[in-house]
Amino acid sequence: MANLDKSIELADSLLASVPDEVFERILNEVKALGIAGPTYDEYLANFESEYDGQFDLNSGGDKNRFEFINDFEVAGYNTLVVRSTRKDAPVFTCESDFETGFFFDEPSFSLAA
Amino acid sequence: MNTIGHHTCANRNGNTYILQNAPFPSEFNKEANKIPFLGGGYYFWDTNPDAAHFWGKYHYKENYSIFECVLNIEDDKFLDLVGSRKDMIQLRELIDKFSRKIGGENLSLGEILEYLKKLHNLDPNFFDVDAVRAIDSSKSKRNEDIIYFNNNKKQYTDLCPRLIICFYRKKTCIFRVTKNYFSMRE
Repeated sequence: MANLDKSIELADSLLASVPDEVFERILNEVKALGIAGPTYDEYLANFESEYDGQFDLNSGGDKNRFEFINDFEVAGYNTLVVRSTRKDAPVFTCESDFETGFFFDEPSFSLAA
Repeated sequence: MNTIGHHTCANRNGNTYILQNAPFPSEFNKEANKIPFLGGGYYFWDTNPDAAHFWGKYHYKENYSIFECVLNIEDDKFLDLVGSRKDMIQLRELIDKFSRKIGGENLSLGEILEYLKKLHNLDPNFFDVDAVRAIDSSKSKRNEDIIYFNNNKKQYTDLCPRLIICFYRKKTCIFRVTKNYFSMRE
């Protein structure tokens, strides 16, 4: 168990004594670490798939999604990006171990620009 | 706190090199979309060779090494987001205290921990933490790990949670090696 009692006590004095510009610099340093990952535009620019356009994600719900996973079994351990045939349709991205069906990351959806 | 840690790394430079230099750090890399869940540091699975092998197969394309060791973590510098409700509550309290400075930024846990680590540099008594442990949860987790308290109810517990431990400084990973697995892609 961490001893955060002291940290909580010190938090108020830090907030009172450290200038705002220092907090702002620290926040900018953290944001610059790139933890949030690429923007959507960066994602599109950096990820390409030979399977682009082969699936229409508008044609069904979960069932369509599972058909998609099976169809990609040959792809191995890769990040997959599927773009539907319509530019304004959702983009489906996932990382998965196809032997177990165990997702490493949550599948994510985003809308095309 | 003592536990067994499993650290997966690339199977490069030979066994001796790995034994002398492991664990290896996980760092942020925006271009490669590398996002350490608990911030930059030295990562272990808590007593979970299966997860370590999975990570090796997935992340290192089956060409990997697993470094198994005993981890000794100083209790009062161990932020335990698994077994300590007090730690969870106090971390939330710290986040709330600094929320005004963070503003409207939607920071991830890794970003928040990095923020607190940087405040530690202003005052070494603040957030004096060497290691963090958390559950790596996923909605798509396999059902076979779940066991219901009552088969007629929805509530369940997970007998195989993936626990990750991140050390922020290598010198604080007090360990002794117990086993070293290798897997070479054919």
